[in-house]
Amino acid sequence: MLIVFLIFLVVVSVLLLLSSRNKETFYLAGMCLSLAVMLTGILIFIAKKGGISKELSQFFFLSISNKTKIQYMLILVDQLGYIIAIGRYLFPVFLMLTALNYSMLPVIRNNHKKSWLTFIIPVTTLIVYYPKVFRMLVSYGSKAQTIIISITNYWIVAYVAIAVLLLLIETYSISMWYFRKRMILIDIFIVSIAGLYLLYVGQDPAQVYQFYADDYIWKQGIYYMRATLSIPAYIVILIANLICAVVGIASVTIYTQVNFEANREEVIRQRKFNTISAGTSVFIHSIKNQLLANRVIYKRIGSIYQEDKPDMDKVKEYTDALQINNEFMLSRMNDLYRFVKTNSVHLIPVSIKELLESAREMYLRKYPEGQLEVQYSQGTMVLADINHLCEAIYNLMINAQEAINDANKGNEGGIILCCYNVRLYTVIEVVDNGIGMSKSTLKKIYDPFYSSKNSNFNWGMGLHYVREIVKEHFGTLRCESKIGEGSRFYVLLPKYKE
Amino acid sequence: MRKVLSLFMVLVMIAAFASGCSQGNKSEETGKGTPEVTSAGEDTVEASTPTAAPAELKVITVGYMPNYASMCTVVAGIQMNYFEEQGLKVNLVEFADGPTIIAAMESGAVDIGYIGPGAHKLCIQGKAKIFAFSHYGNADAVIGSASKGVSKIEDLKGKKIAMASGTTSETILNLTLAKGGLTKEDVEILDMDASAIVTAMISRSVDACATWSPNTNSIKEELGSDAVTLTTNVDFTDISPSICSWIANPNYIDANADDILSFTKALYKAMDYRAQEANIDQVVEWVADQVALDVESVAAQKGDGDWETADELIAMINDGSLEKAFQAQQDNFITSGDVKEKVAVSDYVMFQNMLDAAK
Repeated sequence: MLIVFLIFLVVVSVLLLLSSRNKETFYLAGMCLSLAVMLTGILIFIAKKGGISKELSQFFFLSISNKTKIQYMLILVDQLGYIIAIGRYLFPVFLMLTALNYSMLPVIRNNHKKSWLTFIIPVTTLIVYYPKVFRMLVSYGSKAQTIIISITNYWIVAYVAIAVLLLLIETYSISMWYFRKRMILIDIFIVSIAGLYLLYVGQDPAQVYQFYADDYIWKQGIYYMRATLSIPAYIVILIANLICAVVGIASVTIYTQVNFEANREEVIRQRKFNTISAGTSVFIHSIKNQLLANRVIYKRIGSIYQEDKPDMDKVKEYTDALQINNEFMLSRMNDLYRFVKTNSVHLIPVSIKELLESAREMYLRKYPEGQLEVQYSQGTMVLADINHLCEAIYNLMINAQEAINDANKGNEGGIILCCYNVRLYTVIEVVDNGIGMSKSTLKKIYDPFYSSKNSNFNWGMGLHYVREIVKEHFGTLRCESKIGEGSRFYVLLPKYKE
Repeated sequence: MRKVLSLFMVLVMIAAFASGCSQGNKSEETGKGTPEVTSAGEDTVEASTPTAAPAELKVITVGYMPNYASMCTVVAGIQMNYFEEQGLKVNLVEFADGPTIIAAMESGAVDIGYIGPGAHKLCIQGKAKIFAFSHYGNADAVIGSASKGVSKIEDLKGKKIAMASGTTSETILNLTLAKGGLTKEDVEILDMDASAIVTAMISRSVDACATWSPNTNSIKEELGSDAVTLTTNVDFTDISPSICSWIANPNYIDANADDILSFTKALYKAMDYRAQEANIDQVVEWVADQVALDVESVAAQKGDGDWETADELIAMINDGSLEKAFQAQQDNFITSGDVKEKVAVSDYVMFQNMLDAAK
């Protein structure tokens, strides 16, 4: 069973590295691999030393024959001990790096480039624990061994404790539930494998190649040979670990999705190109239809003038229709032009108050009866191009209102526009209790020319435009939605520091 | 889905706690924190005495090594119900070597253990006390590979030798090198566990090895005439008697003196049983069954020691020869540097317990 868990750890590490190559996955994979290395060494040691029942042997190795194969594996005690040492001393580093990476404490963010310092103690320990070096050092007396082992145990405990503390602080500090719940899942994953690490970390590598050469480690005994946990207890703990690992990895994937999407940009560029090509065809086709319709109107006007007594009322009707068509076409042209022009934004410090009030004004101009609640704290500033960002927020609010209209909520329908700070971000949130969207719709809403409605007024550039604008502001656009309950759009902008 | 997953995880955690608690209760019932380990012997005890109430028996966990010398006495005692007669129920746990058994005793995982000659230095250092003598062994050996140029002790110079430090393997290697006028600096020692020594020798990764039975038999069987026995314990009987013993942690002995005495009494009966020629084949079968090996390979080990009876043991105590043997063994450890300070043999060998058990 433990062998299965080892394989699982290795597979998880590889999948993490394959799925996304960023710091988070690298550190998490490092944790998994170092734990796998340590447990491998300890399993070999257990197989060779014995001291466990047949039932536990089967639990550890799946079968007695596996245990026998491992038992007769040719490996020197120095090599075996150092395998354990490598896993034992690298795990806390990766755990600490993971915690530092997630932590938003100012003192840590400001010194993020110094995180390599966390390697100093573990690497030094690995040098000290190299069997030849270790024997040379302890040859000066048994006290030297006691001191080395004590210091090592202290820093391991300190690393694990600090890392877990940082993760808890971070989890507690996240006020945005969307991020907090993912952080909790990551915590579960990390704590679960850290727990397994602590279960076996008592195995000092020196016990392997300096077998009980000192009274200090002698007192620790080989506790796992005691089999303090019954087999069912071991199994449930491992099942809990497996569940935690799966849940944690899923959460890591979701949590890093923001970065992941950026990494995938190259991959989806082609898809975008295809979509835009299709969209352009739709655009041309639509404009062509309008022009064809106009041609029909022109012909009709022409035929009216060929009559002896032209019906001027009819002419007026046709020219009005021409004017409406013209406005539609102009509007579409403007939208397309606006999208093309989004590359040129000029970011300056803008007060949130000014931004949101402008958006409110635009919204109320279109929907004077709209139920809108605006919440923000005075004095918050963001770096923004107020025209573009205001337009983007207005777009979100228009979408929200349309969703409310579709849901026929009447007076119960309403929009909340709010702004608050979360860790590194200033978040602008647009909430509606409209019709909501399905998961499959959510995946497509940012695609250009995608629209859930089929009308002249919606041709699918709104959210794509919003997203592009937010990206130009070095921000991220996220959405949560449930059918029948409404939608929640988050514009995450980097927090502005004066 | 997430709610279901959360609920499942909560249940798993509760089950873990419950399981842990139930384990704790089990330990309380047996009176100590030892694991529940089943063994072939245990099954037999229950099968042969269906009327016996298990709750009345004191559970003793015994660490052994998978060889005939280590097991013949205790298995005979289990099968013949000698331990049960003394109110004891023996659970067997297999270990690779003596020092590991002593280490497991330190953590409370094992109550009583069997050790070969090499681990006696740990008893001298106070890690454990010897409460009963088992036998004089002759199964340890240094074996060379003729094809690798090792046919006599002097050939070891500059060669790779596989050894398990802290065990009898190291003891006999030290004696052998000294006999050949060599030191550890003259050879390349590869420190590995007892099982790996067999693999290293068979795969010809080393030129020679120091190990014990049944590893010696396996190596000779695989290498055939290429395996040359350079020395055995018999060559060093005078300077380092190959004593094998029953030991326990000093704290355990202080707290369970009566159990130790009872265990010794059962051992004596088992020693007498194993010593009788007519019973040896039966004991071989029992041992083979316990270690899951074929009878032939276990039978090849039945000459691995002098199987003294209880009376012979008492005679050795009374005439002082046993104490002399222990003293000689200690002197050898001091010579080799494994033991720093000389201690009185009676500090770690419980002669009085051995005498009392015979009454």
